[in-house]
Amino acid sequence: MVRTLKDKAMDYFLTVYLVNDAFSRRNIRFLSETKLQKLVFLSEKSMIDEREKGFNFYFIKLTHGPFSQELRSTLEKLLQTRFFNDFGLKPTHNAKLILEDFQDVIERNHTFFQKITIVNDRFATMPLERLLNTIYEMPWGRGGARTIADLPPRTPMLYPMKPHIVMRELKITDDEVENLLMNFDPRAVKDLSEAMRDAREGRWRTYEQVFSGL
Amino acid sequence: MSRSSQAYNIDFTEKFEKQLKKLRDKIRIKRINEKVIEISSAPYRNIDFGVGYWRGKRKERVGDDRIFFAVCEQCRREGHQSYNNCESCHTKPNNTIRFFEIVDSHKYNEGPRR
Repeated sequence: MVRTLKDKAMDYFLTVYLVNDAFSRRNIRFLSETKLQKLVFLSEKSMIDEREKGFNFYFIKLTHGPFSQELRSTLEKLLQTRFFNDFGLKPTHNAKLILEDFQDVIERNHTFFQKITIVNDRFATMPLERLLNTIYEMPWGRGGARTIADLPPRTPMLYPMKPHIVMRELKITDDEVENLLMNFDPRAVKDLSEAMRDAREGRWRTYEQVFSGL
Repeated sequence: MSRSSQAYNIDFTEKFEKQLKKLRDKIRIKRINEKVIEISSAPYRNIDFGVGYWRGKRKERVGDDRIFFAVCEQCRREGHQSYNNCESCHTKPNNTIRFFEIVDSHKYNEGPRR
């Protein structure tokens, strides 16, 4: 399954929510990428277990447990667009603003966000090594005879659900998807910041200057 | 198209001008021109604000393009100056509209619509 634009928009937004929740409610001071990968994995798994389409990252098993390349790219963009600080992934003021502006989306889809808070309650403050061991010992596959530790490297673990098995989907409008994607697009944010610099420094043009000759 | 009889004064950031010139598509430019004129004669027809980084700016659709602007009287009334932060704010009359930028939203929407 290819991730749609809506899938990507929600992946960005749920990641911002998860990180902000871990810092603000669970009072962590630092979040490593490895731990973020595991928290998102556990949240996505808890959604998929109930056939809820929230997170849509592909996860495979690597040396340090489940890993998603798409989540890594998402994280890079969230750092470029300054939603998290480079050091320790601490959410910035921009992260708080976007969560505030999309409060309706959170309320409308509270069961999805609740799953993230449950994962954070159980695992966000757990030392990384213990968290990794907990994940390795989780049963995996039909029958539950195998654990995650038993899986061969690069085994696909999670991926976006096929539409016919989805029981519940996030409710979000096309307009909200567009607004989210703009905010998480480093190019769009850079263009806006250039426009704002013009406004701040008084570089204004008249109608005639802008439209003449076009 | 002329805008000589409009009630609102309008100006544009240099970024807006650059983005417009980069479009090179006469139809898109014409539509944006028409929308600018429409906004400058009736700025309160559709009220849709940007969010996140675009807080404090009004948003208008022009096909797949979005234009972002602020009406000075509304910006002051809503307390949006801290988001827009225009250099000459105190010298601008209320009946001014400032156009900030154009965003091509095509890549944020599924399927071809253009």
